[in-house]
Amino acid sequence: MKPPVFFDEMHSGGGVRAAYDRYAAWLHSVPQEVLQQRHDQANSLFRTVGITFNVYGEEGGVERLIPFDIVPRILSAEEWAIVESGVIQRVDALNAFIADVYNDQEILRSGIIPPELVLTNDAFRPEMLGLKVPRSVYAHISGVDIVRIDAETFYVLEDNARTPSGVSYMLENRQAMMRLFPDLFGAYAVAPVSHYPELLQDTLRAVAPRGIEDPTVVLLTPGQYNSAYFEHAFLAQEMGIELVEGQDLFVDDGNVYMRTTRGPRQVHVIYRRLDDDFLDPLAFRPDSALGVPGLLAAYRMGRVTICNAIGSGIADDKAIYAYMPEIIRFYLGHEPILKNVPTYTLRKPDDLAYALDHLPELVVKEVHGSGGYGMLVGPAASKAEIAAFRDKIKADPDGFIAQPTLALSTCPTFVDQGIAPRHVDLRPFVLSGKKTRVVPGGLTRVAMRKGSLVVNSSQGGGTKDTWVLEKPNARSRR
Amino acid sequence: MLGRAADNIFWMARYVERVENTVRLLRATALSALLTESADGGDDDTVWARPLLLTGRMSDFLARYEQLTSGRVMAYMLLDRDNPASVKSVLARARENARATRYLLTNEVWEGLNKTWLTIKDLHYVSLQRSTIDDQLDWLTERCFLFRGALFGSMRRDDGLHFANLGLYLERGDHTARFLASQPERASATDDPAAKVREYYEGTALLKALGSYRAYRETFASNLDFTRIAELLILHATVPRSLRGATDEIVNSLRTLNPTADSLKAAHELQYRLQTVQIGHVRRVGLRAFLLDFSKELDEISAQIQRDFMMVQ
Repeated sequence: MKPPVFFDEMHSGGGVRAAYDRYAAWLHSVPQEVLQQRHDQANSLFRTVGITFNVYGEEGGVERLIPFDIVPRILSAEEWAIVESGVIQRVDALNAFIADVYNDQEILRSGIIPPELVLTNDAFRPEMLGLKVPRSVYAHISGVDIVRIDAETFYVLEDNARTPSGVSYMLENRQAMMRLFPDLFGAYAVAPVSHYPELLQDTLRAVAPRGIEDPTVVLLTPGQYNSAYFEHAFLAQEMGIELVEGQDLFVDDGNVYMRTTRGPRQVHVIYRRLDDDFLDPLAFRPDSALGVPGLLAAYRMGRVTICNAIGSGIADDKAIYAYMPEIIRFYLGHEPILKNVPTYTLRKPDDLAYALDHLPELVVKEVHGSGGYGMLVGPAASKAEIAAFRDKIKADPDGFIAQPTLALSTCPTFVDQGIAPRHVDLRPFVLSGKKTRVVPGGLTRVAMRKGSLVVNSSQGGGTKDTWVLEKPNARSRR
Repeated sequence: MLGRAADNIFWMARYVERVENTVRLLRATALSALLTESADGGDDDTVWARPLLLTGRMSDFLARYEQLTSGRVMAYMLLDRDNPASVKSVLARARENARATRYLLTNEVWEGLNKTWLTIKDLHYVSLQRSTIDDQLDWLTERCFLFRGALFGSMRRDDGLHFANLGLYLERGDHTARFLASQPERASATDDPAAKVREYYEGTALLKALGSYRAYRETFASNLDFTRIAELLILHATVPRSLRGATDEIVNSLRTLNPTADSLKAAHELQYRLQTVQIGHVRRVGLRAFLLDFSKELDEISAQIQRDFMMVQ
């Protein structure tokens, strides 16, 4: 096999791409020590602010920093226009799909998606059948993971319609960059992102139960030992809403209340960062101490809105992913703007046979996996790893999908040896309330290890600030 | 605000105040140790026992160490994670409470406290010896002042701040009362010049331990005198570490939070007693009994605050 050629986002054939021109000039003029010093400064900044995450499988209370890279990832206005329209289209289709499978099920009846793939799916929640939710929005906050392989081609790697995280890094990374490199922000017109919490607040308020003029919105967290606790606290603080745990809420006569120092106060919208299974011990996992007994009943009575809706995970299931182009055409009548990665669904015998024959070239993922756990990256795996994975697949073909290994683009990154290319992806955060919106950019994740294609923080990935450049006179037009 | 969040803020402030009090206690102990050495050749053991007795850690300390030395006590009270009363342990709890409720805190409050924690977390006895202990104690005191400055300078004048204020002054009142109660009973000095000198040095150490030396000088135009010191630290409303000063703060915060709370009634009664009692009367019933009774009252008010505002279930 010849080595793949990766798209370098900064350089093209000896030159520098237009979006990076001033940055590249600056970078070449700055001594290595200065970069090292800014890098250290960034680390101590993040530590003081407390932007840490807890790693699963380690002792409780272990807080780690996600590596932050001081080299920004820069997208031109034109590139962003493609991504923006593409993710909005995608999320609109996801919401239409969820509304449909819990109501009329036209897409199943039309034969576009095999009904059993939806109806017997673990992420499908029969409790949601026939329930009308405000504005027919289910996935209020979505994260769409995007990779690019050349100048024009963007692929969606996966959709996250449950409780996508990472937006606080997008916001804090920008804060840090503005503090560390004020001059660069003078040289570039970078589209701002810090109004995200405003948009989020606006989105959550827009989906309050009917008739509630001034809704009380809360953020429901599993607690301070959750890996994303920093983000929960950060967003609650930015929006000025209460950060509640299950024990702070109770349901009485179909209404949800929180326990305050001045007695019970009714809650109308819950932005939950807790999985479906843990939301209500009476309806889902009875052993959940994190949830609120009776919450599902209150939700079904329309007294409270849960964001994202229970059961929205059906839309980001990896088995459903393969049908996304069809889903977009079916509900919106348009061609998909962003590409879908060809996906082999290993429950199909033909796909299974192909995948088993081509494991060294493929990426194989668990259908219900996330966070980069339990996946095989064929080209990077040893023979023994491939053999072991082959056995896992054979034991449970339904549990896996396979995709060709994409040649992820690279972006210059500050590593021990200096500046070197590393693979990146992009997660824009899409908000759906009255309408569907996205702040320019998102979270760029970077595989810090040389050659690695896995960008997840749990697998040693880092993050970068993502700059979307404004059109030359966009500023003056505002 | 959420009852649980109120509880977190209350304990955050309470623990930071405890850190400052512990630091003051250690500083006062070090000072007394120097004085006793110069005065009568040293009864170092009993001096260094005081911080352990006051925090109830004596038996644990003796179970782990054979000798009561200044270095051991300092290390044990500052940095020992197995000692729940050490500065490091108490700061860890302050920071845990802050972290649980950081969405309600301003960045100044959270980041200041987090920075203090991150610095002391990695501090070990070896590095403590390298710098002078006094520098470390100064630094810790400054961090506590910074915390309060950030708290009162950046937080909204709202329930959260009042719960922090309650935690701070309940802890402070309790500490002053128990610290005074731990002092040996002293009669006012006779005309014996040697006793006069000792009264001066011991009185100075005591006042400095409670940050009230200047307050004494500005309030009384007389020599140091134990009865007046007691009067100052118990009855004077203008002294920030006095029992009366702490009680007034507790009453004010509770009144703002809920004018009909049971905890306010109890605090009012305590305040009334301090407003009307004379120091002569206190001495007649027994200073120590009076102080321990005050400390018990504060415990009950603290428990009632939990019932009035923070019931989780």
